[in-house]
Amino acid sequence: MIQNNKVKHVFVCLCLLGSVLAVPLTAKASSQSTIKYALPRLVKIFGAGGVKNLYGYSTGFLVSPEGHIATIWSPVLDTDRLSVVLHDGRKFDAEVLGAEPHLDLAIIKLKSERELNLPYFDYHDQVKAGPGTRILGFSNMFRVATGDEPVSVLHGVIEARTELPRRRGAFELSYTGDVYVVDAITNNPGAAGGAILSYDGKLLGMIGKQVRNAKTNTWVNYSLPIDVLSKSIEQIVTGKFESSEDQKKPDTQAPERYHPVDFGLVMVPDVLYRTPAFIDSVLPDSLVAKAGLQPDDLVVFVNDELIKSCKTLRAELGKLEAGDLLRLVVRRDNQLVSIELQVPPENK
Amino acid sequence: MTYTITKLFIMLALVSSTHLQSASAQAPTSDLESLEERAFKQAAAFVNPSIVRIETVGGQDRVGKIITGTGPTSGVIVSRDGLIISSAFNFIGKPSSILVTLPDGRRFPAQVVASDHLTMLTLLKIDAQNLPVPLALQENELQVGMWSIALGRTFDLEQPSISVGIVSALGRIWGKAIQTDAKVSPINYGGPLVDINGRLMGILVPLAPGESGETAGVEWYDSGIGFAIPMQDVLKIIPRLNTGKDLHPGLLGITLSGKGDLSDDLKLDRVRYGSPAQQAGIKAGDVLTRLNGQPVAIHSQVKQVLMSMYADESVSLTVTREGTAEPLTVKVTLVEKLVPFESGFLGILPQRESKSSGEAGVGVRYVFSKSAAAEAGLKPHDRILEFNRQKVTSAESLALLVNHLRPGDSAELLLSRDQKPLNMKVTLQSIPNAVEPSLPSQAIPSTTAQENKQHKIKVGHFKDQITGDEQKFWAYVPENYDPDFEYGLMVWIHPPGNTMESTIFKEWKSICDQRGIILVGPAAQDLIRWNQDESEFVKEVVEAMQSRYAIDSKRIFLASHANGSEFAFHLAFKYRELFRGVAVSNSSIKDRPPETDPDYPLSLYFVLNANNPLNQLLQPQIEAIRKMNYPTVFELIKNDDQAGGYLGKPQLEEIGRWADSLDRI
Repeated sequence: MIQNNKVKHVFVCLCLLGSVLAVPLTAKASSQSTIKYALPRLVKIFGAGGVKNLYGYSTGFLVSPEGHIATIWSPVLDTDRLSVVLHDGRKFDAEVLGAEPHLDLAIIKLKSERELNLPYFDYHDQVKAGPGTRILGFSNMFRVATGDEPVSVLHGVIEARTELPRRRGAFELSYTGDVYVVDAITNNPGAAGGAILSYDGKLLGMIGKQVRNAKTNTWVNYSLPIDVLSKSIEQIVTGKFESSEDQKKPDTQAPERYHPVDFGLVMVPDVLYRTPAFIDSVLPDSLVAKAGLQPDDLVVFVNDELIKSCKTLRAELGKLEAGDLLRLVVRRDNQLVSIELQVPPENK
Repeated sequence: MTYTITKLFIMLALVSSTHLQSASAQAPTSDLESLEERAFKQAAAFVNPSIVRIETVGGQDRVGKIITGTGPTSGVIVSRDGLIISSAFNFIGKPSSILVTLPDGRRFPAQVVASDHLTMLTLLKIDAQNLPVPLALQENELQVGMWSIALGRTFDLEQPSISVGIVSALGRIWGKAIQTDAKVSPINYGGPLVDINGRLMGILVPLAPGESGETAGVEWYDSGIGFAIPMQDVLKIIPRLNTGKDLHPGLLGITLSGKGDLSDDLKLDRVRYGSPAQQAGIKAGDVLTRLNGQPVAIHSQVKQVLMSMYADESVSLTVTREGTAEPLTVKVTLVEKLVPFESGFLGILPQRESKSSGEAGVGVRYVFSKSAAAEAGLKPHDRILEFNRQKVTSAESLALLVNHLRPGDSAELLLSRDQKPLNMKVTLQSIPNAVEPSLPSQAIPSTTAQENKQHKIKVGHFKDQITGDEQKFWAYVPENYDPDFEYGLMVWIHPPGNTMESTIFKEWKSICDQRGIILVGPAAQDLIRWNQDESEFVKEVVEAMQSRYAIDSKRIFLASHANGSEFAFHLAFKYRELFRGVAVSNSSIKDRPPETDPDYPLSLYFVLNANNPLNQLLQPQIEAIRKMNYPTVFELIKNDDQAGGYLGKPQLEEIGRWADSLDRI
């Protein structure tokens, strides 16, 4: 076991070093040359909104020489009079070409009679970066840039690449995958749809909406990784898009296939907002009785999910399916006790 | 196995060295930037094995205005055998169970060992061995402008979250913390702040200069102003926390006169009774000149020294005192709690004797029901000759002895009953928050109006003014006033806009006659409001009455109604040596009273119509005042009278009994 852990340790270290090494060795670009490169590729978008809490502006970045722009899917785009201003002050009308609401992504296109040949980002280069990577954030936060002014630049590092836990019900955010959390305050009004780049000029992601982190209840500065967006951008730009929305299963209530009592668990009455999941009693000859659980044990994990309260216990047990392996970890006095059992057929 | 690992390391070392070489061949700017970036990541990787994830189960969902997060938080290993330090903020919800996950994935239940309420750190213990303890930076290696990297383990078990900044300041929040502009938030509270080499600078915590408590400073999260407790300080307190006892900020018990951190007025406004400062002989009016031998000139310097100290630590104070040539230096040991002083209560009213009576000791006029005196068997007409073997010469000297004891203290009495000596033991109680349902008035031999006229003593209802002052007052002195006995003095503070003179005179006359109380009603210069600088005038009126009539200083009280109460309380708290009671009707209390002081006992009386909307406001105020150990009577009238009207007969009579017992001992 100890041996094993050591190996694991080394492995973790290796992973960390690995991420260090993943940064391109031949980084010729500096932060200054990256800023020079990026600013002409960022645009200011003006559309619907202007009412309380709904800003009528956002940011976008060019992804083709013909004027395709990737931006955030938001109510700003919900208008017939969408306009885009380039870094040099050129103003265009634009139309929404397509959107992938699950990624909060929209592609808009500039309307122009002439061929444009604009500078753009190559989004095919699916660069990933780890914590500690220095980034530059580009956005028209607070609509501070107007006319021929380029957007604002912020600096920071990637704090983590992680799944974003949202505060349920508090914010509309359909995306559930990995994001970059950064330590620059990138997520401001109007900043959504902007871009984050590594210091050496690699496009890393698109700045997301303003949301709170549900686990810590704080505002979070995040961007959607370009490796996640890349495929959808390409499909919309090339007109071969199939929204995953159509394939999406209808939103159902969380399943409640199993209840604690199905395993022989009688929990304490759930009277608090977060009642700790203490076992009140164990039904004689039940599955958990045979596995050795006792009254007053505190259930802390169900299949590696932390059980914060009786509610989360019910939710986790409800998700199980017949034949699943159920691994329960309980805290008894000052010890963690782990049991495993097979989920029985459903009791209809 | 070991062999392969070593081999791997060598390979890695090789790779990184070539890496460095190739990087150094780049243009200078990008070279520096990428080297720095690499250093951030390596620093994080270096300290990574010592950062743990902390998860909590159960607990409150809301503390004050803050919704507690349910998410994981961070901690740092500080001993090989399982001690983990974290931010106290991570446990504000008082979770019923705490779990710690090591970076290698092993999980342990954790126990809270103890918390430090000064630095807001909590020490945890898990049952594990051979844990990696991180390297700490020495205090003198810390410098403003150094890279500082804030790490947490909220998101990812494999890699810590990283935020990069610089050290913005040292010795912040009264000498307690390193300030950084790396982003500090619930994501990394409890995690480490490390330097560019991955050595520990400190532990990240929320802090704010003006507040204390676990949630102070949280509103500054991610704002470019974050704090960490220096690691050397953390290491110093760990052995103390490991004994299982919480550490608390040390308190001295002084308040300074000037206001604001930049004030240079270092005169001591108050020295709290029973506090370490008072016990060391420090007095109000002393001027603080040095702390621990270092000169102090402004308030913030005083805070810098005192607010980073723990209870049980000692500080030396140097003060200058008026009338003393040499400055005084005392050593004071700080305490965890300043307990509001509560005077003990014997439960008697002393006889009001004529000035010419020469009897020994203090006569008992009345024994309070269920009081210490009643339980010990004291009776009216007993005379108390000695209290705790000290001779009692007057009611004042007996009150002084009793007031400086606390409820629960026991005392010995030597009495004389029917001319025979009697020893008695009593256990003092608290002063009751109620008025005796009936109280026989003290019989005072009356003089006739005729005699008073002869002696040119003004009695009855009259208007007057102080010589040399235009401002007026009115007064009522009972017609049968006898200058050989002391009287109570009720100072009527009229509500703005109405002196209520005729109502007060009419309603109170008979009570004043019965209880031996003189009534005085100063009038505000501008009838519609009391100006705070008129307090001087009110004081002069009281002093004028004291010089003209025989007034018992223990029974001078303020009475007011509705909006007048604010000024009445202002007077009572300003002239603590002058007033012994405040009785107000249909009003709440706006200012927080000062701490109780046995040398200046003050009793409070509130009466309110239950229909008055102030009721909801007043109830918690009463609770708070009682917690400060002020004897406080609170009467709620339940009838159909108009909520704003003046009081009826039963209430006035109760205030009369209350006023008649202000000299209780």
